[in-house]
Amino acid sequence: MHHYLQLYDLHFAYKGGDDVLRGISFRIEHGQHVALAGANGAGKSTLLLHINGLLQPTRGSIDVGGILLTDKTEAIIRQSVGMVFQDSDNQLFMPSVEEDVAFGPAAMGLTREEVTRRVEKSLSEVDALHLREREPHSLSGGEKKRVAIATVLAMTPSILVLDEPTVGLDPRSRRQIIALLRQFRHTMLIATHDMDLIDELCERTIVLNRGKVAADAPTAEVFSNMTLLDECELEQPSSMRFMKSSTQIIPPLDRAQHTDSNANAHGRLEEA
Amino acid sequence: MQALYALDEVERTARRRSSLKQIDARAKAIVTIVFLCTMLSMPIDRLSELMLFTIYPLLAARMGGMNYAAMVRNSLLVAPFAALIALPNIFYDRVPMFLVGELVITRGWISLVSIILRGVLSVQAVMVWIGSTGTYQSVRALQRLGMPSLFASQIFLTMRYIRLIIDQALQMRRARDARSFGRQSYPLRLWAMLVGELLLRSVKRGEAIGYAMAARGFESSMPAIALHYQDRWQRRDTLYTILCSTTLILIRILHLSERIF
Amino acid sequence: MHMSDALISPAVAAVTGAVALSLIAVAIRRVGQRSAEESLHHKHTLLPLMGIMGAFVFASQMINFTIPGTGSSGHLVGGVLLAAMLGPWAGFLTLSGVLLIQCLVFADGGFLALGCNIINMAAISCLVAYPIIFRNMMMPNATVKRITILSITTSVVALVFGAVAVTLETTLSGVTMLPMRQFLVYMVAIHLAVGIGEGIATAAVLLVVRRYRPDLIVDNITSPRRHHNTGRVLTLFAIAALIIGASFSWLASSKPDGLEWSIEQVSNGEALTTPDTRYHAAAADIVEQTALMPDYNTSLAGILGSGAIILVVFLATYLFHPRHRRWPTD
Repeated sequence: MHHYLQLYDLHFAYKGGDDVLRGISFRIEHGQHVALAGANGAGKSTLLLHINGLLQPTRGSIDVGGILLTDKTEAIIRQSVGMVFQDSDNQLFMPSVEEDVAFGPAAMGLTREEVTRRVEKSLSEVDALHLREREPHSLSGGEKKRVAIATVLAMTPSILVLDEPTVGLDPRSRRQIIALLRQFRHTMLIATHDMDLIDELCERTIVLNRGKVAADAPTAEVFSNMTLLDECELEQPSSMRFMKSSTQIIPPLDRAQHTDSNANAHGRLEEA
Repeated sequence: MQALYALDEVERTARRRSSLKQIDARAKAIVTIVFLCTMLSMPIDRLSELMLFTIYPLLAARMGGMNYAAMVRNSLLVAPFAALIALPNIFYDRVPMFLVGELVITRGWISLVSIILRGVLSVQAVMVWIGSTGTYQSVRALQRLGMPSLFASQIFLTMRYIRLIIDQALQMRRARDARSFGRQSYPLRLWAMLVGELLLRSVKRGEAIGYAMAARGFESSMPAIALHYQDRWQRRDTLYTILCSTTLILIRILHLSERIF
Repeated sequence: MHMSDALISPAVAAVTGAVALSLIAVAIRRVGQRSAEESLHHKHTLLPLMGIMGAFVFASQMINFTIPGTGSSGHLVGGVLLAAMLGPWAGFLTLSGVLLIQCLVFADGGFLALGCNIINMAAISCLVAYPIIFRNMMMPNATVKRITILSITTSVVALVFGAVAVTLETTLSGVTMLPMRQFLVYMVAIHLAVGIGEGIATAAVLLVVRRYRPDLIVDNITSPRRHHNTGRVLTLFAIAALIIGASFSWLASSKPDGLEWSIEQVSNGEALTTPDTRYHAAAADIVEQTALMPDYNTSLAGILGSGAIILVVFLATYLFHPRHRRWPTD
């Protein structure tokens, strides 16, 4: 079966509020790695929550591999769409790592042997088998994220949706996660600010700006479009910035003036 | 802060591979209940018999690799409150029991000591049970003994997030204290803002957890997760339960001390 | 106030335990029904919310508010708050869970006494006081004054009834010889004061919550109620007032030695022995019937003998399990 993901004209507003998503449409093909970029408040997280039916759109529809998302098909779709949340602590809610990873398969109604097999397989994939009897609160940030990914892998999804997978991680853990994601052959949709991650992992980028799709193009194209980046409050990945500044030898003091358009995005704080 | 430390201490102790740890948690739970029932049904003027019940927490603590002295110290925290309410017994119950030299020991005094001992021993019994089993396993034991699963799941969730939320609360407090010269408590308005904020953040987290659970297939009840280390009840557990229960019941029914001495 | 096992008799523990378990069973069914009925969005939120709010209760007890004029501080227990946010049954379950954890992990409250504690602290506030007073008398867009007054009233009634329950349970256990009336007076007085504090604190937090997320207040302070059953409120209130009033009048009329209470005000003038000795004797009787041997009470020899036995066991365990042995860990 080809696991594509298609959104048709998605609209969404929280009760009594303004529209957060204002007509989102795109299609992701089987095996693609797509980034979802945008400033805070652009609607990335909200959009992701629709893909497995956690939020219902006020207008529009979602099609996952030929199955239209409704409250009846929700359960099936949640087995193919695995979601990794931004805060791993919210994803690891069981008393031990083992039980957390077992939760998904157990909820799917699998046999005890199958559940155990999947637990071991997923934990091995993320190199966390040695953590199986630990309690989540005793894990480091990087370990939590790896285990969180394992909890999702255990359900053998075909589409992986990740919300800010590298936020809050120390550099080494971040590298581990990126390396891990690079190995996956799932269809992936990654919402992130981390431009370098996009650069490394995603061949295609969808940019959201104020609830609308501002761009949907190959990553290289998006990153070359300075006006777009500026408008959407994004910046280029460091690889490109390095390239740029190394071809123009600018004394440090003057550099601030020349790269002014990127400076404001730099100091932005993460939203909690 | 002490709460967190206490939590960690319990877990650390419970991880020791002691002989008591090998016993099924359900057996320990049952024995604890038998202990409490037999001890607390003892008439309060039978102090000498009551004292014999000290042996159970003592033996269990040693078998469980726990620091008996520390446990006794911690259990004494209960003593003042029990003593306070038991104090009137001295005034109301003046029936003399025996003489120590010239001093008349009344039943009131005996019952006072008994009550304090009851309080202290009952706390020790629970400590010995939890300390040799771990908090999660203890609640799981209760679940397997009949506690409703929904209730158990809720308790597991609370135990999972208790550290996190307490940490948040302490952080908020520290941030406040840094600006107000180390106050221990806050005026109402400020307090309400702090607690309100903590509440709202907790609710937000609760909703996020709900999403995470639903995303992995949760509908309305927790899936039954049976993993390989769910211990099976073994013969030694039956032995332990019967041995301990019988001993305790005998101590309760027979006047051992009075008959021997 | 958490009851310790020291003052409980197994009989009282069994009865209160049975009541508490039944209430929990009913609560689970109600909560389950509600989860099924909830909108798609909320269906999966109730259980995790209950769990998290339990953790919140613990955390909120780390932050104290100053009690003006006394120099001491207090914290929120949160029964009314939980009920307002989660509904009576879910609030009850949450608080019961908290009580269980406090007992097992923090040795706060006895294990056999859990039944009592659950009734006294969780059931009375969430299942009785909250629905009858607070929820009943709430109005859409209630004023600050209304919320505060209802909060205080509910908390006071809840705590005063709780105080009565504690007194009853203690007296029926027959362990302490504290005269019920004196005990009751002190308990009611203390809980009256605490109730006022708790009520004010609850109102303060509810107002903060309402400001930022009014959707969280369950029986919706903002949604219309059909009619107010003032009759029930007044009845409950009257009972509470009666208890408080009677307690204070007993306090005022108590004689210094406290051994003989004049109960002419209450009954028809018969002087009885302190009623509690009757309970005490009755409880003692039941207990005696379970003994095989006639009661020899306690002698000095017996005490010393027991002490000797304990010492021997103590030394023996140190011989076989020396203190300094390193325990291998899992």
